[in-house]
Amino acid sequence: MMKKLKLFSDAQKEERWLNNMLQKGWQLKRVNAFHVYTFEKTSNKEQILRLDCQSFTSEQKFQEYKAFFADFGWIHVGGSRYSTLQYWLNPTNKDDSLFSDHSSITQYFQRLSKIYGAYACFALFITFCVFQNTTQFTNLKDAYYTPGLWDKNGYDFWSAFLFETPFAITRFGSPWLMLMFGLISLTMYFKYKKEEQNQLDRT
Amino acid sequence: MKRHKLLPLTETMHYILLALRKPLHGYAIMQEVETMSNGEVRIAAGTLYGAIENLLKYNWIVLVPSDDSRRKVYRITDEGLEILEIEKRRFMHILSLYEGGFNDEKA
Repeated sequence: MMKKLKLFSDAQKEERWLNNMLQKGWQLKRVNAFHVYTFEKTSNKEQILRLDCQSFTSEQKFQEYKAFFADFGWIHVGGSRYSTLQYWLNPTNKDDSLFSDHSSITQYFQRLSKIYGAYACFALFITFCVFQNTTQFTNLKDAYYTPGLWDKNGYDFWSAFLFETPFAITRFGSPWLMLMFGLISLTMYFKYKKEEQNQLDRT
Repeated sequence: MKRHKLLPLTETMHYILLALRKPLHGYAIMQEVETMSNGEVRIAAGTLYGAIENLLKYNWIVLVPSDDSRRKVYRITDEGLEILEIEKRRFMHILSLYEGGFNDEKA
Protein backbone atom coordinates (compact mmCIF):
# COMPACT_ATOMS: atom_id res chain seq x y z
CA MET A 1 0.00 0.00 0.00
CA MET A 2 1.15 3.49 -0.76
CA LYS A 3 -0.53 6.83 -0.33
CA LYS A 4 0.26 9.92 -2.36
CA LEU A 5 -1.05 13.43 -2.26
CA LYS A 6 -0.95 15.15 -5.61
CA LEU A 7 -2.86 17.98 -7.18
CA PHE A 8 -3.48 18.16 -10.88
CA SER A 9 -4.60 21.08 -12.92
CA ASP A 10 -5.58 18.95 -15.87
CA ALA A 11 -7.51 15.67 -16.03
CA GLN A 12 -5.49 14.37 -18.98
CA LYS A 13 -2.20 14.85 -17.12
CA GLU A 14 -3.72 13.10 -14.14
CA GLU A 15 -4.76 10.16 -16.34
CA ARG A 16 -1.24 9.88 -17.80
CA TRP A 17 0.30 9.94 -14.33
CA LEU A 18 -2.05 7.20 -13.08
CA ASN A 19 -1.21 5.01 -16.08
CA ASN A 20 2.52 5.58 -15.48
CA MET A 21 1.99 4.41 -11.90
CA LEU A 22 0.28 1.28 -13.29
CA GLN A 23 3.28 0.62 -15.52
CA LYS A 24 5.48 0.81 -12.41
CA GLY A 25 3.24 -1.80 -10.77
CA TRP A 26 1.11 0.52 -8.64
CA GLN A 27 -2.62 0.19 -9.15
CA LEU A 28 -5.02 2.86 -7.96
CA LYS A 29 -7.36 1.57 -5.22
CA ARG A 30 -9.18 4.76 -4.36
CA VAL A 31 -9.03 8.56 -4.38
CA ASN A 32 -10.56 10.82 -1.79
CA ALA A 33 -11.89 14.35 -2.07
CA PHE A 34 -8.53 15.79 -0.91
CA HIS A 35 -6.65 14.12 -3.76
CA VAL A 36 -5.01 11.49 -1.63
CA TYR A 37 -4.43 8.55 -3.96
CA THR A 38 -4.17 5.07 -2.45
CA PHE A 39 -2.18 2.58 -4.51
CA GLU A 40 -1.69 -1.16 -4.20
CA LYS A 41 1.09 -3.32 -5.67
CA THR A 42 0.01 -5.20 -8.77
CA SER A 43 1.74 -7.54 -11.20
CA ASN A 44 -0.90 -7.02 -13.90
CA LYS A 45 0.53 -4.30 -16.12
CA GLU A 46 -2.01 -4.89 -18.88
CA GLN A 47 -4.50 -2.76 -16.99
CA ILE A 48 -5.54 0.67 -18.09
CA LEU A 49 -7.03 3.60 -16.22
CA ARG A 50 -9.37 6.17 -17.72
CA LEU A 51 -11.09 9.29 -16.42
CA ASP A 52 -14.62 10.36 -17.18
CA CYS A 53 -16.14 13.71 -16.26
CA GLN A 54 -19.65 13.28 -14.84
CA SER A 55 -21.68 14.45 -11.87
CA PHE A 56 -25.19 13.33 -11.08
CA THR A 57 -28.50 14.89 -10.13
CA SER A 58 -29.49 11.88 -8.01
CA GLU A 59 -27.87 9.02 -6.15
CA GLN A 60 -29.89 6.61 -8.29
CA LYS A 61 -28.44 8.05 -11.50
CA PHE A 62 -24.94 7.66 -10.07
CA GLN A 63 -25.58 4.00 -9.19
CA GLU A 64 -27.02 3.36 -12.66
CA TYR A 65 -23.98 5.00 -14.27
CA LYS A 66 -21.64 2.75 -12.28
CA ALA A 67 -23.68 -0.38 -13.11
CA PHE A 68 -23.67 0.58 -16.79
CA PHE A 69 -19.86 0.78 -16.98
CA ALA A 70 -19.42 -2.31 -14.77
CA ASP A 71 -21.25 -4.36 -17.43
CA PHE A 72 -18.47 -3.41 -19.85
CA GLY A 73 -15.82 -4.69 -17.43
CA TRP A 74 -14.77 -1.32 -15.98
CA ILE A 75 -14.09 -1.10 -12.24
CA HIS A 76 -14.94 2.14 -10.46
CA VAL A 77 -11.89 3.03 -8.35
CA GLY A 78 -12.57 6.65 -7.53
CA GLY A 79 -15.04 9.48 -7.68
CA SER A 80 -18.29 10.26 -5.95
CA ARG A 81 -21.66 11.60 -7.00
CA TYR A 82 -20.39 15.20 -6.79
CA SER A 83 -16.70 14.76 -7.58
CA THR A 84 -17.19 15.24 -11.36
CA LEU A 85 -14.10 13.14 -12.14
CA GLN A 86 -14.77 9.41 -12.23
CA TYR A 87 -11.87 6.95 -12.19
CA TRP A 88 -12.28 3.74 -14.16
CA LEU A 89 -9.93 0.78 -14.25
CA ASN A 90 -10.03 -1.87 -16.94
CA PRO A 91 -8.19 -5.01 -15.84
CA THR A 92 -8.20 -6.67 -19.25
CA ASN A 93 -7.09 -3.88 -21.57
CA LYS A 94 -9.66 -5.23 -24.04
CA ASP A 95 -11.38 -1.87 -24.34
CA ASP A 96 -8.62 0.63 -23.88
CA SER A 97 -10.78 3.74 -24.06
CA LEU A 98 -14.05 4.96 -22.57
CA PHE A 99 -14.87 6.66 -25.85
CA SER A 100 -15.03 5.12 -29.29
CA ASP A 101 -16.12 7.98 -31.53
CA HIS A 102 -15.28 11.62 -32.11
CA SER A 103 -18.54 13.14 -30.98
CA SER A 104 -18.29 11.54 -27.53
CA ILE A 105 -14.68 12.72 -27.13
CA THR A 106 -15.84 16.20 -28.11
CA GLN A 107 -18.55 16.07 -25.46
CA TYR A 108 -16.00 14.91 -22.87
CA PHE A 109 -13.89 18.03 -23.49
CA GLN A 110 -17.03 20.16 -23.40
CA ARG A 111 -17.95 18.76 -19.96
CA LEU A 112 -14.40 19.37 -18.67
CA SER A 113 -14.44 22.93 -19.99
CA LYS A 114 -17.78 23.63 -18.30
CA ILE A 115 -16.78 22.20 -14.94
CA TYR A 116 -13.47 24.11 -14.78
CA GLY A 117 -15.37 27.21 -15.89
CA ALA A 118 -17.72 26.71 -12.95
CA TYR A 119 -14.74 26.41 -10.58
CA ALA A 120 -13.32 29.64 -12.00
CA CYS A 121 -16.65 31.44 -11.43
CA PHE A 122 -16.74 30.15 -7.88
CA ALA A 123 -13.20 31.43 -7.26
CA LEU A 124 -14.18 34.78 -8.77
CA PHE A 125 -17.13 34.97 -6.40
CA ILE A 126 -14.84 34.24 -3.41
CA THR A 127 -12.41 36.88 -4.67
CA PHE A 128 -15.19 39.49 -4.64
CA CYS A 129 -16.34 38.41 -1.19
CA VAL A 130 -12.93 38.79 0.44
CA PHE A 131 -11.65 41.78 -1.51
CA GLN A 132 -10.13 44.61 0.56
CA ASN A 133 -7.14 45.86 -1.42
CA THR A 134 -5.06 44.53 -4.28
CA THR A 135 -1.86 43.98 -2.26
CA GLN A 136 -3.53 41.02 -0.53
CA PHE A 137 -3.21 39.16 -3.85
CA THR A 138 0.51 39.78 -4.32
CA ASN A 139 1.82 39.64 -0.77
CA LEU A 140 0.63 36.88 1.54
CA LYS A 141 1.62 38.98 4.58
CA ASP A 142 -0.85 41.67 3.55
CA ALA A 143 -3.61 39.11 3.55
CA TYR A 144 -3.42 38.93 7.37
CA TYR A 145 -5.68 41.58 8.86
CA THR A 146 -5.12 41.15 12.62
CA PRO A 147 -3.83 44.55 13.82
CA GLY A 148 -0.22 44.37 14.97
CA LEU A 149 0.05 40.65 14.21
CA TRP A 150 3.66 40.82 13.06
CA ASP A 151 4.78 42.60 16.27
CA LYS A 152 3.35 39.90 18.53
CA ASN A 153 5.52 37.22 20.09
CA GLY A 154 5.33 33.63 21.33
CA TYR A 155 1.92 32.15 22.08
CA ASP A 156 0.04 35.37 21.22
CA PHE A 157 1.59 35.41 17.77
CA TRP A 158 1.16 31.74 16.96
CA SER A 159 -2.46 31.48 18.10
CA ALA A 160 -3.46 34.58 16.11
CA PHE A 161 -1.33 33.53 13.15
CA LEU A 162 -2.67 29.98 12.93
CA PHE A 163 -6.22 31.16 13.44
CA GLU A 164 -6.04 33.60 10.59
CA THR A 165 -3.98 31.51 8.15
CA PRO A 166 -6.92 29.76 6.44
CA PHE A 167 -8.59 33.14 5.88
CA ALA A 168 -5.38 34.73 4.67
CA ILE A 169 -4.77 31.92 2.21
CA THR A 170 -8.30 32.32 0.88
CA ARG A 171 -7.81 36.08 0.49
CA PHE A 172 -4.44 35.63 -1.17
CA GLY A 173 -5.15 32.57 -3.30
CA SER A 174 -8.67 33.02 -4.69
CA PRO A 175 -7.72 35.18 -7.72
CA TRP A 176 -4.85 32.82 -8.55
CA LEU A 177 -7.16 29.83 -8.37
CA MET A 178 -9.61 31.69 -10.56
CA LEU A 179 -6.85 32.32 -13.08
CA MET A 180 -5.72 28.69 -13.04
CA PHE A 181 -9.21 27.23 -13.43
CA GLY A 182 -10.01 29.83 -16.06
CA LEU A 183 -6.98 28.83 -18.11
CA ILE A 184 -7.73 25.11 -17.84
CA SER A 185 -11.33 25.78 -18.82
CA LEU A 186 -10.14 27.70 -21.88
CA THR A 187 -7.64 24.95 -22.81
CA MET A 188 -10.42 22.36 -22.64
CA TYR A 189 -12.69 24.69 -24.60
CA PHE A 190 -10.10 24.93 -27.40
CA LYS A 191 -9.64 21.15 -27.41
CA TYR A 192 -13.43 20.84 -27.63
CA LYS A 193 -13.62 23.31 -30.52
CA LYS A 194 -10.74 21.58 -32.29
CA GLU A 195 -12.40 18.17 -32.02
CA GLU A 196 -15.68 19.69 -33.24
CA GLN A 197 -13.90 21.25 -36.21
CA ASN A 198 -12.21 17.93 -37.04
CA GLN A 199 -15.64 16.35 -37.10
CA LEU A 200 -17.07 19.01 -39.41
CA ASP A 201 -14.11 18.55 -41.74
CA ARG A 202 -14.89 14.89 -42.00
CA THR A 203 -18.54 15.27 -42.98
CA MET B 1 -36.76 22.85 -43.17
CA LYS B 2 -33.84 23.01 -40.78
CA ARG B 3 -32.06 19.77 -40.25
CA HIS B 4 -32.05 18.30 -36.76
CA LYS B 5 -28.86 18.89 -34.76
CA LEU B 6 -28.02 15.17 -34.70
CA LEU B 7 -28.55 14.67 -38.44
CA PRO B 8 -26.93 13.18 -40.40
CA LEU B 9 -26.52 10.45 -37.80
CA THR B 10 -23.05 9.34 -36.81
CA GLU B 11 -22.21 5.71 -37.37
CA THR B 12 -22.55 5.07 -33.63
CA MET B 13 -26.00 6.67 -33.40
CA HIS B 14 -27.12 4.85 -36.50
CA TYR B 15 -26.21 1.44 -35.17
CA ILE B 16 -27.73 2.17 -31.74
CA LEU B 17 -31.07 3.22 -33.23
CA LEU B 18 -31.13 0.23 -35.58
CA ALA B 19 -30.30 -2.14 -32.69
CA LEU B 20 -33.05 -0.66 -30.52
CA ARG B 21 -35.81 -1.71 -32.92
CA LYS B 22 -35.98 -4.46 -30.32
CA PRO B 23 -35.75 -3.71 -26.56
CA LEU B 24 -32.19 -4.05 -25.19
CA HIS B 25 -30.14 -2.96 -22.17
CA GLY B 26 -26.83 -1.09 -22.41
CA TYR B 27 -24.32 -3.90 -22.72
CA ALA B 28 -26.66 -5.87 -25.00
CA ILE B 29 -26.80 -2.86 -27.35
CA MET B 30 -23.01 -2.99 -27.65
CA GLN B 31 -23.10 -6.73 -28.37
CA GLU B 32 -25.91 -6.37 -30.90
CA VAL B 33 -24.04 -3.57 -32.71
CA GLU B 34 -20.90 -5.67 -32.79
CA THR B 35 -22.82 -8.53 -34.41
CA MET B 36 -24.70 -6.24 -36.82
CA SER B 37 -21.44 -4.67 -38.00
CA ASN B 38 -19.62 -8.01 -38.32
CA GLY B 39 -17.29 -6.98 -35.50
CA GLU B 40 -16.35 -3.67 -37.14
CA VAL B 41 -18.01 -1.36 -34.60
CA ARG B 42 -17.35 -1.82 -30.91
CA ILE B 43 -18.99 1.00 -28.95
CA ALA B 44 -17.11 1.98 -25.77
CA ALA B 45 -18.96 2.34 -22.46
CA GLY B 46 -18.65 6.12 -22.17
CA THR B 47 -19.72 6.69 -25.75
CA LEU B 48 -22.79 4.49 -25.39
CA TYR B 49 -23.71 6.10 -22.06
CA GLY B 50 -23.59 9.58 -23.58
CA ALA B 51 -25.43 8.51 -26.73
CA ILE B 52 -28.29 6.97 -24.73
CA GLU B 53 -28.61 10.17 -22.63
CA ASN B 54 -28.80 12.17 -25.84
CA LEU B 55 -31.31 9.89 -27.55
CA LEU B 56 -33.53 9.91 -24.45
CA LYS B 57 -33.40 13.71 -24.38
CA TYR B 58 -34.68 13.91 -27.95
CA ASN B 59 -37.26 11.22 -27.24
CA TRP B 60 -35.94 9.00 -30.04
CA ILE B 61 -35.72 6.12 -27.57
CA VAL B 62 -37.59 5.37 -24.32
CA LEU B 63 -37.15 3.29 -21.21
CA VAL B 64 -39.20 0.11 -21.17
CA PRO B 65 -40.21 -1.58 -17.91
CA SER B 66 -38.20 -4.74 -17.25
CA ASP B 67 -37.77 -7.43 -14.61
CA ASP B 68 -34.06 -6.66 -14.25
CA SER B 69 -33.91 -3.93 -11.59
CA ARG B 70 -30.19 -3.30 -12.13
CA ARG B 71 -30.24 -2.75 -15.86
CA LYS B 72 -32.35 -0.29 -17.79
CA VAL B 73 -33.90 -1.48 -21.03
CA TYR B 74 -34.50 0.85 -23.99
CA ARG B 75 -36.51 0.78 -27.19
CA ILE B 76 -36.84 3.08 -30.20
CA THR B 77 -39.86 5.44 -30.37
CA ASP B 78 -42.01 6.42 -33.37
CA GLU B 79 -39.99 9.62 -33.60
CA GLY B 80 -36.82 7.55 -33.66
CA LEU B 81 -38.25 5.40 -36.45
CA GLU B 82 -39.08 8.55 -38.43
CA ILE B 83 -35.46 9.65 -38.09
CA LEU B 84 -34.36 6.28 -39.44
CA GLU B 85 -36.77 6.78 -42.36
CA ILE B 86 -35.21 10.18 -43.15
CA GLU B 87 -31.74 8.65 -43.00
CA LYS B 88 -32.85 5.73 -45.17
CA ARG B 89 -34.10 8.11 -47.88
CA ARG B 90 -30.78 10.00 -47.70
CA PHE B 91 -28.82 6.77 -48.10
CA MET B 92 -31.06 5.55 -50.94
CA HIS B 93 -30.50 8.83 -52.73
CA ILE B 94 -26.73 8.61 -52.32
CA LEU B 95 -26.85 4.97 -53.41
CA SER B 96 -28.78 5.95 -56.53
CA LEU B 97 -26.07 8.50 -57.31
CA TYR B 98 -23.45 5.77 -56.94
CA GLU B 99 -25.31 3.50 -59.30
CA GLY B 100 -26.14 6.29 -61.73
CA GLY B 101 -22.43 7.09 -61.81
CA PHE B 102 -21.51 3.54 -62.70
CA ASN B 103 -24.15 3.42 -65.46
CA ASP B 104 -22.71 6.58 -67.00
CA GLU B 105 -19.30 4.99 -67.09
CA LYS B 106 -20.65 1.94 -68.84
CA ALA B 107 -22.55 3.98 -71.41
